[in-house]
Formats: sequence, structure tokens, C-alpha cells
Amino acid sequence: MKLTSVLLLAACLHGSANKAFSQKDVKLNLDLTNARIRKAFEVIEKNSRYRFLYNSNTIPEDVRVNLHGKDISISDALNKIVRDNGLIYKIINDKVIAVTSADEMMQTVHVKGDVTDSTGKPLQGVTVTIQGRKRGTETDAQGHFEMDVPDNAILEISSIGYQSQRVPLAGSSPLHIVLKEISSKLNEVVVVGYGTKLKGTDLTGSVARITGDKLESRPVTGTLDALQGLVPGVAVTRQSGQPGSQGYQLSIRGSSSINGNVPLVLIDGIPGDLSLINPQDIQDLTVLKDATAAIYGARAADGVILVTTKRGRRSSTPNISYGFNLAIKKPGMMKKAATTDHFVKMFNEANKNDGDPQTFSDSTLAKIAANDPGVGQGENWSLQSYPMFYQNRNWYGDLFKTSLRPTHNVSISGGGENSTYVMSFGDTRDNGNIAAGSNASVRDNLRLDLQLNLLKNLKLDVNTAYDYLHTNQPSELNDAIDNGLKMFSYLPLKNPAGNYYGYQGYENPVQELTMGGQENITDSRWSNNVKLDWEPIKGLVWTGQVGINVEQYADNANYPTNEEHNWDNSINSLVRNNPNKASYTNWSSVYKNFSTYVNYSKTLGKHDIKLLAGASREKFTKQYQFMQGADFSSNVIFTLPLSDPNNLRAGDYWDNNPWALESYFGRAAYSYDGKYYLEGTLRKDGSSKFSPEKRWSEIYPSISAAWKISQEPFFRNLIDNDVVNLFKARASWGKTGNQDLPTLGLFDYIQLISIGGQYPIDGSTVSRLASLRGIASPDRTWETIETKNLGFDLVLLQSKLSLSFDLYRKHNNNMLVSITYPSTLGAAAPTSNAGTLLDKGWEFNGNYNSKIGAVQFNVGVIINYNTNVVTNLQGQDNYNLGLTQARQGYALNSYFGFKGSVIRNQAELNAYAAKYAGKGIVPGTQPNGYGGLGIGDVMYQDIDGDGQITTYGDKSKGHSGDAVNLGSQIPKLTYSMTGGLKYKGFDFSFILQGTGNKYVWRGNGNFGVPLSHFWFQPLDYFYGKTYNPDNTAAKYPRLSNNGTVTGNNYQFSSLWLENTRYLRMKNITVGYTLNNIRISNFKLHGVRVYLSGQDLFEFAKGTWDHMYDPEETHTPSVTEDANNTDYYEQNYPMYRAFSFGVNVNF
Amino acid sequence: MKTIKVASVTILLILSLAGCKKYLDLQPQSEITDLTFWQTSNDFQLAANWFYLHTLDDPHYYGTNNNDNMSDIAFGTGVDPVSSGTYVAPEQDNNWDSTYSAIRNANKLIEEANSSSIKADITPYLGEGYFFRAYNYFTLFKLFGGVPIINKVLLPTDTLVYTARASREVLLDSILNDLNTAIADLPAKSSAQTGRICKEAAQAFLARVCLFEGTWRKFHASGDANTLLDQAIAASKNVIDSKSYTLYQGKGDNSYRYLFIDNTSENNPESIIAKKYRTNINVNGWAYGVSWGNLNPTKPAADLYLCNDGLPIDKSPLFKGYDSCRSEFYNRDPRMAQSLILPAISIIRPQYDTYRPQWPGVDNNRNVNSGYMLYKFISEEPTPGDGGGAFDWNVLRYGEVLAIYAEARFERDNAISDADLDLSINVLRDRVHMPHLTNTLVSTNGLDMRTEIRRERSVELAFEGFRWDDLRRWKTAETVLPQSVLSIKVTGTQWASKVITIDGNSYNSYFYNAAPSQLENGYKLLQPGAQRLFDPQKNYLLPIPTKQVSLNSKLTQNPGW
Repeated sequence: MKLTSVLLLAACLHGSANKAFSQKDVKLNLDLTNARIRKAFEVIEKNSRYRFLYNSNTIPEDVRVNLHGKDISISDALNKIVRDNGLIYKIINDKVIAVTSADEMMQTVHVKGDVTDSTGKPLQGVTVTIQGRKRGTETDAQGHFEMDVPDNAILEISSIGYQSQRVPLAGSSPLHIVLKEISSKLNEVVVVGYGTKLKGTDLTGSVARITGDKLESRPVTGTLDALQGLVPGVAVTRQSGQPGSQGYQLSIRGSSSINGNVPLVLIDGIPGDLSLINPQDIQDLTVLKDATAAIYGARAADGVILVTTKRGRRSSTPNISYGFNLAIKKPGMMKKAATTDHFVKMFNEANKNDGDPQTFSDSTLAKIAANDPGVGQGENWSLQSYPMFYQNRNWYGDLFKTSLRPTHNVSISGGGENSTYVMSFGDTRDNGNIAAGSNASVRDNLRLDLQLNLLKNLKLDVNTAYDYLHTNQPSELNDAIDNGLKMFSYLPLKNPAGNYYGYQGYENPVQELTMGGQENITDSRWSNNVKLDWEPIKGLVWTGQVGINVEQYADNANYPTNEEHNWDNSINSLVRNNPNKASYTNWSSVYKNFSTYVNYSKTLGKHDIKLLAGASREKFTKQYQFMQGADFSSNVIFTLPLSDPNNLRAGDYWDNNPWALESYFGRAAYSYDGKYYLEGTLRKDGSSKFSPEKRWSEIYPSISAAWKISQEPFFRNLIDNDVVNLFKARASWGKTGNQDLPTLGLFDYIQLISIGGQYPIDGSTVSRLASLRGIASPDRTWETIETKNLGFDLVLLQSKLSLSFDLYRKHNNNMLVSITYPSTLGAAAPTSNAGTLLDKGWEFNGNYNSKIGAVQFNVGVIINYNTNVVTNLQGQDNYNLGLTQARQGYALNSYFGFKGSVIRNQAELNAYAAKYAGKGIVPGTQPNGYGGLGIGDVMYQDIDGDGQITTYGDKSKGHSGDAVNLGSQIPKLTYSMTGGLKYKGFDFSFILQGTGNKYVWRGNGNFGVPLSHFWFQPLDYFYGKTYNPDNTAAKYPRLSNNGTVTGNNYQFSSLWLENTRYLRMKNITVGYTLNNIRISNFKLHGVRVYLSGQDLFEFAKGTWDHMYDPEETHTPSVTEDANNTDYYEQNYPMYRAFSFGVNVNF
Repeated sequence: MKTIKVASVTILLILSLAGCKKYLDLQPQSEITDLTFWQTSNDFQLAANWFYLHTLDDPHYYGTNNNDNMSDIAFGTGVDPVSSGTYVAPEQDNNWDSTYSAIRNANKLIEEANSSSIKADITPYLGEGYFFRAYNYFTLFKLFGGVPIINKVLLPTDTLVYTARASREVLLDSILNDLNTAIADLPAKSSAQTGRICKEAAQAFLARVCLFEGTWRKFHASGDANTLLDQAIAASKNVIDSKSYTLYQGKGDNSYRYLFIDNTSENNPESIIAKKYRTNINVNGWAYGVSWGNLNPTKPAADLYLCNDGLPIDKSPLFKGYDSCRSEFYNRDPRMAQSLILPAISIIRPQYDTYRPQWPGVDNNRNVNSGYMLYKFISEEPTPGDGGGAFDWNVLRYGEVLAIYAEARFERDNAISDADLDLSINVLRDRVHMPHLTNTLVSTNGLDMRTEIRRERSVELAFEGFRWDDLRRWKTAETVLPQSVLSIKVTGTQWASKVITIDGNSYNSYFYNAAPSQLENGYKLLQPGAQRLFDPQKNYLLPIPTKQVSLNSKLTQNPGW
């Protein structure tokens, strides 16, 4: 802005100003009595849309003006105030009134300059102003600026994230200004909800923030994947490597309810889903962990994650960027079935233990050892009429292969004077690791954002996103993975005629994958978010926001009929999927969110006040359909009209129920002198899930305070010497309500009738059935969670070292729990607000950034220690043998089982049998016979001393049972370490992430125990690890095919419990950046190429020789018990990813 | 001033949201509630339908308490703790929980029907409500004796949740009352809808209840047996006289076996109450598993079958002994070879739609521990568990009614006329062309009429889940159950050779070279008697689940547990 030129021009042309002005004349009501001229300018500014621009040296302070009247035109007012005092003015763009003195003779110079950061990277959008003036300019994309300034001016150069600089002018030579970055913690602006933004140092609560760049350039499938290990107190777990269904779970600071609630994720203020959003679209992500989240009441009990998506930058040329990443996914830890050699030896050993005839003959063993390609007479149990083979095939391992995942991202952003825009598009094709059949998921994210200044004080933000996730997979994928382990290793893939071999009735998994049909799942979501900010007077902003998310989900699966071939190529009588069938599951939902709130902020001297009040309404509706057709006339095309019209079936599950929430909230924040901060919030929510009488929550309060001790006078020396940059203490307390519980039905407060199921009463037609569903619960209401937090932030040594520590407690005071009544009630009583859960822990976060020569480096450490205990379940001591979700006095997801050990000699056997034989689960003694307990079997401790081994004691006699707490699935300790180096164009970073003790019990899958069934082979892991007379120190009990013996040995005991703590290299990235490359006429601002690896290696325990991934967890539902089988077998292995990527900025 | 103005405008804006008070008043879109149900006859029919699927029992070979693995005549894949006397009082028992859940639904149906304005139209469903309430109480009664009677729909706050156990007599009266009300409300078979409980079905069930408790009282010396036996006689006679049912004879000489696997069983004239299985509607899950050796006959089962001269194997000259694998099957009651597979015979069985020779341990004959292979219930469909299995389980069939009549008649007076035998036992024998049971036959051959009547019942109803209840009510469990469980004879028979040739084919004997510990007197030993206990003071009843005892202080445990 060439201010002086404009002013000079104005001086020449002022005669015509009135004319140009008259069309848009503005009427003012003024009441100025002996006012200073600058005050008069301020009054006019407040009453109009004009801003004054002047040099404070030019406008004398002591000039006083008088002007009274209504509907004074602006030109009259200016003539009276400005011209009558010997000054001149000019209205520029109908916005700015420039004022100067006619006789001032200004010396101006034209200044040019560049601004870079300490690495030499040009900084765009840096504000350059003349000290004492209100306006200036900004740097362009090359970091360049130029402007005319008075020759004695001092330039102020500032940008968020950097230390501001003042540069006195000395001549007109180009300026090279290097801005020093400041610790992001000190300067970052954090969004804390409902439009309120605070400087990081002004926060009173426990808030963590990461910027989007931390999520970029990594071979991850999505945002949740990328978040692991990056935010203190935030835990991300996953269950599988299957594209589209990795099963990520997110929690903040442990749990606050046994009912399994989850953190609230808000994307630009509207609830959304982190699993679908493109990580590239995230500008920053803020986590509210303590009472700070209370402003979000209804669903904030487990913390709130605020995601701000990227916005364009005003007055900038279009910024076009393109990123490409190619990830190579290699299956990681995988189960391995016993080799043919190991299997037959183990089976024969079991025969020996059981006193049974040897199943596999010596000659067969010899043929197997010789890898004989022939075919012989069947020998395997009950399979004598099927051929025997002697080679080895790794059925399960061969089901998986290395696959690729290409990702493309394009974005264009920029803005004009009154608007900004951003468009981004991302496409990821995640190919599955399955080696046969088709399995991939495609994620497309299209996001548009427009910010428009409709008027000077009216801003519109329109954000719309389309997220699409399409997954296709073989219909029988899970079954094939299951069968992949069960197929005997000796079986060949195909028969001599080249058809898939269906041995006896075992489904050939490769055939299942290739011929068993396809399932297509499409989830598309269209999110619209329109926000209007109106600032009628300075400091007061009214915001109206409408969010509408439309989601459509379709799952279509077909099951073509397919035949299995025997070895002689005859067709097996078992024809799979006969008749063929196809199912169609569809639902669509509409979520509407209307919110309105007012923010007001005011600074009066050292007092700073911020107020907020607002309300919101949310409603969710859903339409669900399920249809199944059978007997399609085609075995290739599955469209309902081709099916048998008499064989159509609609689903039993039909969920079209709506829910709604209504909320009111407010916040008041006060701070004094940048030292003392106090903030309070109130919130009240109504939920449709409760009966009208119990619908409204109490008014939930929160209060938080902070003291910036480093601002006190006694800290001055330390601050001035850059020894301590910040020292702040924080405390918060708050209550939030919780109703977003999976266990809470939408209409539980009315007695519901279940109509479902089908039964052929007359022997031919379908009859429907009706029964009472549970018992109505009109008295149920909100869970209330009380949160406390104490913490401090410390920034030291020229902001190189930052430390923060938090101590917290979450107390759910009226948790919904099931009270068990006698079964004579006839149904499970509805849950009532009668339980308590205490969750507590601490977090530490430390970062050190520094530089040695030209090498910049940083290291960070995050440690979180969290414990929880179910303190009150109304005396209900319920538990399952196995994983128990909640038991009074214990941590959530604890395992309960027997304490078992292997009987290693006759004396132990005799003593044990004498005491317990036939009592409880222990069979009688009869070595090597039916019902016999022998050496090498498992004995259990009689914990309650009632003379028998039982899970539960007879409580009516005071016995507590023999199952003891074996540990929880949830680790108490989680930690991570991050680090990075930068040298010139090179950069390197890593993330290490791990957990402390966490327990997994492996005995309940089909493969948790060797030879649990004789119709498939055990895991190879057990080979050589089971008790026999030559291996008396073995870890596991003797092998047996006898149901009674295995029934004793494979109880839920400590023998099968594994501690799966781990430390994993989550990510390593090496990159190189080239700036300002010119290729003939084409200029690239920046090109970065990088190599990155995800989950490359780990130090882990309890993986059973790398057969189970240590991260593999299984979160049980409330009702699940230990007898849940077939879980682990169907797990899609996790993978390690290596990737190459390039990002280009045009 | 302006601030206040704008603030008030915005506060008004916020408050305007609250204008619609109904915002949170939503209606279920996919749920039926108590307020909208119970309006039409169809609603009551739907409520009655529930009991057919959820409370009629299957002959599961595990888990439930109506399978013969709990008795002397069958053995599963492992020892059975109940029949071994090693059962430990469980914390929870699904028999207890699910019956009370069914009783709650029955109470609701009865309450709603009795107070309904269309009561006249819905009497049959009201009758079904009473019938199924009685049916579920009888399940509890058989297992536990007297239990709390809950005849209204309770809320958690209701003190009746903590009811004490009714005496055996009071509970029985309650069951009989419900059954008599049901008999009055239910239509006769001729006018009832196909497949629904009718008057005769309730009478047949009442006969079962009365025989059970009549003989229990008689042999446990606890109360008036004759009144109940009289009612059993009258009820079963009513069913017989109604001529509503006849024995199934649709497959000639093989009718007995096909009775259980005929997939046109909705037309089965013998079926009184059936659990229905139909392709793609309700799949018969147990049919597959039972063919895999989960229910294996034992020596006591094999020995029950008479020779075809009407005499037991220890009296008949026709008995061919155990020399070959097949000899004991010769000259026997045809029901033997229709219930047990003749070794090496070719049959069609699940998974195989061609005839294949059957041999222990081969194909899916996984009953290698017993040697005897079950034939009864073995489907001829290749995939009975995979969408197919379209044959019913007969919960109550006419054959049982005939057996009830004969036994009740005999036990009432310790004697039975030949005429009554011809009306009952001999009808069963005619189907399989066995000689009639007569008083003369008994006296001539030194037989015992009670033993023969019980034998006939056990043979006819073998593996259908009656045996354990029968042993308990006859009070013979204390002598029968604590004995070694034996199966085929190995020593000195063909089974002892390594390779056995039958019909020109060779088979490996699974019992060749059996260890001495696996034999007793030459018979394959499934479980030694030393491991089997029976305390008459304790084991005639099962324990109340301990958690229920601790939850309800008024609930007393059964003696000995």
C-alpha cells in the first residue's frame, strides 16, 4: 500500500471527493463536545464502516472538535472535523479515510524485502507494518514484500509461530529478514469450542494440539492410524489389517463408563468420523481432555477432539499442491499351522498319550520326511476313506501376499481480498493382502471450503465434504481365513484334473475366495457445514451454524453356487451355496445439527473478558432395509428380479429409530494481566433416549483456572535471560453427562415388543413371533462424570525445552449398571444409574528442539499412566470365566481364570487326584483311558478351598470360586517417543510407540490350544512345547484327542495368558526437499521426496513366535463370555508398510 | 447500549430454538410397543407363536437335560457329570433362567388375553398361554422339584421376585390347573389350526405329567400316587379314544426309523407336539451333529432289544451272541437295527448321498469310543445342518401315549389286562411285527410284566431323552447309574482281530489290541463304575443354581447340594 502517494493524490483531488462520495453518503448521529480529534475518529469508526488511517505524528493530539446533530452526512462531518482543522482527507475504496496535513512534506522510500525462516524457507503471509500505523502489507508466496514508507519508519514484521521483529529503516537497500520460530506451544492458537480461540499459553485446561503436517507423508490408511503415539492421553488401538475394517478404537485417558462411550469428534464444529476424513485435509487437531470439554456436555464425557480443516489464505495466488504416496504392504505377524511333519508327529503323540492306536504309520512318517509327491491310503482319524498325501503346503501363509496402496492428493487453495477457497481431493486404493479373489478398499475424499466476507462484519463459511469408502471383498473372506488354518497341511490345492480339491467336505479356502462370491460395501457420506459469523459491534460475534450429514451405506453380497471336486474329479455331494443367494443391506441416515451462539470479548486495561452463550439441536434419523433373494436364475448376475420371487426374505433386524438432543451452554472467561485466568462453563442437555420425566440433565458446571507464574515480577530475570519462557499451573473441575451409550436403546423407557424370528408352525409357511423385549426403564437418566485435572506447563532454555505434566481423575458417579435380580423376574432388569467407576492417571509430555550448527533436531516423549477400577456395581460380583468387562473392585476388561500348572510326576498326580478327582472340572483318574487324568495334564488351584475346582463358588455357602484375576487387557502404561532431524534439505523423523503390561488370553479360539479339535492341525508353535516323557519341562500339557482330558486341560487358566506389551517402531521417514526449482518456464515452489516405513519392527512379548500381533486386541461386548471361539482365526493379519512419496507445490 | 441491544437479539435467537417443546418427543419408527400391541387376534397369535420356537425342546446331545447321555443307554464324546454323580452345583443354569423368561411371556399373554375385549376370539391362544406356562413349569419340576410359582408379570420392584419355593404338591397342582384350563380353552384337533397345540395335545401332555409324578410318588413313597395314575390313564385313554392320532406306518417295515427323519412330517399322523424344522425357515441344527458320534448307544441299550420271539436275549434261544461284529443283531426286534447301525452296512447319511459302508471311525462315524453307532435320527440328507434338515423333532408322539397308558394301567393296580396291552404295547409291536406281550407270555417264560412294560417304553423311546427321567421316577437310578458304562464285546469276538472282513470288504478294527484298562469282562469300557456315584439323598434332583440361592434368601437348596 503506497500510503503517501495515495495521500498526496487525495490532497490534489479533494475537491472532487464530495461528488464521488455523495452517492453512498452515510448519515451519522454525533454528539462530540470538546473531543480530541482522534477520539472523534474513533466515534465515527464505531458508527460506520469506515476506518481512519493517519500518521500519529501528523495529527496533533490537542485539537478539539465540537459537533452535534442527527443525520449528519459523513462528508459534512469530515469537513467539519478534518478540513476545518487544516487537514485533508481522502476516502479510499469506500472503506478507509486517509487523513494527513496538507503542509506535511513527507519523505518516502520504497522498501523491498524478503522474509524467510531460519532454514531459509520463504515465508508467505507475513505481516509487515509500519510501527504506529494500522496498515501494512503481507509477503507473497516467495516471501517477498515491497511498500512505500516514511524514511524514518520502523517496520514491524510478524507472523504466527514466529518471534516478531522490529527493523528500523536504513536506506533503501533490500531487507533480508529471518524470523525466528518460537516454540509452537507458546504461540499457537487453539480452538476450544464454539468459536473461541485462545493462545496456547492462555489455556486453563488440559488441551493437546497437533498440526496436520504431523499426519502427512506417512503410509497410513487414515487419520486414526496416523494419530497413534502422537497425542498425550489419546490411545488408538486396532484389530485387523483388513482394508476398510481395521477396527480402530479411540480413547482419551482411559474409560469413563463400563458402557463403552467414545470421545466426541467434531469436524469444524459438527460431529463427524475420524475414520473417513482425509488426514491431508486436517489443519489442526485439538484434544480437550479435562473439564474444558464440559462445554460439550452431552457427549463429551470421554473428551472431545476438535478437527479444523484447512482453509485458504486471503489475498494469495493459487497454491496448488499434489502428493503421491505408494505404500507397499507386507503381511506382518501371522499364524502358522503345523507342518505336515509336525502335525503327524503331534497326532501320534496324542494317540500315545490316550492309549489309542498310532494313527499315522511309520511308513507314512518316512514318506513325509522324504517329501513324497505320491498319494496313499487315508490314515487320518475318520478320514480313512480319503487319500493321504505326504507333502507340505502352507495354506494359511499362501493366502496372503504383499500388496500396494497408492494414494493421490491434490489441493488448490488461495483467496481474494474478501474470500478464500480450498478444494482438495484425495484418492487411496488400499489393496488387501489376500492372495486370491478381489479385496480392496477405495477411499475418495472431496472437500470444498469457501470463506466469504459478505459484508465487513458478516462472514460466511461454507464447507462441504464428500467422503466415499468402497470395499470389495470375497463374500466368504472370514470363512476362508478360518479354513486357511484348518486345511490339513498335507492337502494339495488342486486335484490332478486341475480343479480345486475339496477334501472330504473341507472348504478349499482358495476356492472360497475366488468362487465364493463378492461382497461390496459402499459407505458414502456427504457433510455440509455452513457457518455465518456476524460481528455487529466490535468484540461481539454471533454465529449460526447448520450441519447436515447424509450417509448412505450399502452392503451387497452374493453367494454363487459352487461345486467341490474330489481327488478323482468327481463332484462332491456337498454343493456350497445351493441354492445361490444374495443379500442387500442398505441404510441411509440424516443427521442435522443446528447451533447458534454468541461470543463476546472485551479488554479493559488489564482485564480481559470472554463470554459465550449458545444452544444447539441435533436430530438423527435412519432408514434401514435388508433383503435377501435366493435361487437366482444366473450364477453370475445377482439382481433381485432374477431371484425366485417366492424365496425373498426381509431382515429381522430393522432399525429406523431416531434420536434427538437439545442443549444449552455458556462460558465465561476472565483473565487479568496475562497472569491469572479463570473460566467457567454451564451446560444442560435433553435427550430423547430418556423418558420425558428423566429427559433433562442437571446443569453441568465446570470451572478451571490457570496461573502464569512466569509473568510474576520475581520471574522477570529468568524470563529476560531466556532461561524460563513459561511456567504455568492449571487446575480444572467439571461434570459432564453421558447418554451416548451403545447399551442404551433409543426407546427403552417404553415396554417394547420384539417381533422377529420365524417358525413353521403349520409345517410349511413362516409364522412370526412376538415376545416382550426386556423390561421398560422409565427411571433411567444421564450418567454423570466428574473430571478433575491438575497440571503445569514449563518452557525453558530459549523455548527449546517444553514440559508439561497433568494429574487427572474421572469419576462416573451414576453409571448405568445392570443389577441382577433373581431369574424369577423373568427378564434381565434394565440398567439403572447405580454404579461408579474411577479412572485416574497422569500424563507427561516433554519436547526438546535445538540446533547444532546447521542441524536442527527435536525429541519428544509422551508417557501416560492410567488405571481404572469399577468401584461400585451395587455389590454385583458378576464375572465370566475369561474376559470380563466389568466386575466390582477390578479394572475393566480383566481376565478371570484358574491358576493352572502341569502335573509333572506321579506324586503330584496322586495327591491332586486324591483330593479333587471328579469334583468340579477335574475328571477321575484313569491314566491313558477315557475320563482319565494323567501326568502331563493340568492341575488347578483350589483357591476358595471348598474341595472342588469350580469357576464360581456356592455363594450361599460363602465360597468365592477358583477363578482369579489374571490381569487386564487394557495397559496401564502407554508411551511414545518421537524425534526428528533437519539438515539443509534433508529431514528425518521417527515415532516409537509402546505399552506396558497388557494381557491377552489365547485359549478360546480354535487355535489357542493344540489339537482342540482333531479335524485340523494345531499351530506349529506348539510343536515340541507339550509335555511328554522326553520333554518333562514342557510349558504346555500333554496332547490328547480325548474330550475329557482336553476338557480338563484347556480350561481358562493362566497357562494360556500372555503379556503382550510391546515397543514398536511406528514410523520412520526420511525426506529431501528442493525449493524453487525451475524447469524451463515452469516453476515449482517446492518438491519433497520421502521414504517412510510404518510398523517396521518391534520388541514384543507374548506373540507366540510372531504368530499374533501384539496390538491385536479384542474388545468384548457386555455379554460376551470366555467360550467365544473362532475369534482369532478370522483375524486378517496386520501388515508392515514401506512407502515412497513425493509432494509438489506449484 | 448497542451491546445490550444486540445481545438481547441474539439471546432471543437462541431462545427461539426452544420454542418447539416437542423436539425431543420422538416416536419409535421400527419398534412395536406395549401401547400399540395386544389389539387384534393376530397380535395374540404372534405372542403364542413365540413359545413353539423358544420353549419346545430339542434332543441336544449336550447342554440341556433331556438327552440320554445322562443315562445308562448312551454315551457322548466325554463323561457326563450328571450321570457320573460328579456334577457340581452351577452358578447359573439356563434351564432355570430360560423357563422363567418363558413363564414371564406366558403370564403376559394370559393377562392380556383375559383382560382383552376380544377374549372370545382369542381363546385358543389363551389356552396356549396356559399350556406353555404348564410346559415350562414341568421342565423345572422334573429337574428341581418344587420351585417358586410366579403367575404374574413382575417388575424389578415387585417383592414377588423374592418368592420361596412352592412344595412339590402345590407346584404340581398349579401345573395341572393350567393344563386343565388349557384343555378347556383349546380347540379339538379336528378344528385346530395345523401344527398348533390342541385339546388332545394338552391331554397327552397331562398324561405325561401325571405318569411322571404318579410313579415318582409310588416309588419314592411320597404321597398319593393313584389319583395321578388315574388321571394319566384317563387322559391317555381320551387321546387314544379320540382317534386323532395313529402310529406312522408310511415306510412299511422301515416306518419306525423313518418316523424321525421323514421330511413330510407335518403330515405325520403320530406327531402330537413337534418342534418343526423346515428348509430356510427353521434349520435342524442337531441333525448333523448327532450323526457325528455325539450320542452313542451302549451295551445296556443294545441288550434291551428282545429277540424276535418276544423274549429277552438271556432267555431266547434265538440270540446269536457276540462272536461276530454283527451276530448280536441277528433275530432281534427290528427296532434294534433301525436304531443302531449294523456294522459295515451301507447306508446314506449326512454328507454322503450315496450308500457307503458304516464302520466306527470311518467317514463321520466318530463314535470310536463305543463301537455302537446310532442309526435313529440319522438323516439321509447330505446337508441337514446347512439350510436343510427339513424333518421335525417329535416332542410328544402317539407312541409315547400308548406307553403311558400301559405303564399307568399297570402301576395303578400292579396288573394289566391283555385287552389293555392290545390297546397300547401291542400296537407299538405290531408296527415292527414283534410278537404280542401277553400275561401268558410273561408267566410262561418267567418274565416280569413291569420290566417288559418298561422295556417296551425304553426301546420305543430310546435316545429320545426319556431315560434319565424314567430311571429317576422308577427310583432305579441309584442302582443303574453307578455301574461301569460298557459297550461292544471285544475279547473273544471279531472286534479283537486287526482286520475284519465283512461282505467281502476289509475294515480295520479300532478295538484291536485294546489296553486292559479299556476293557471290563471283555467289553469295551467307556467309564468305570468306580468313577460313577449316585447318592439317593441328593442325586434324584438337580441343584438350584447357586447364584439364585444367594440372590434370593427365601430360595432353599435341594438336599445334599
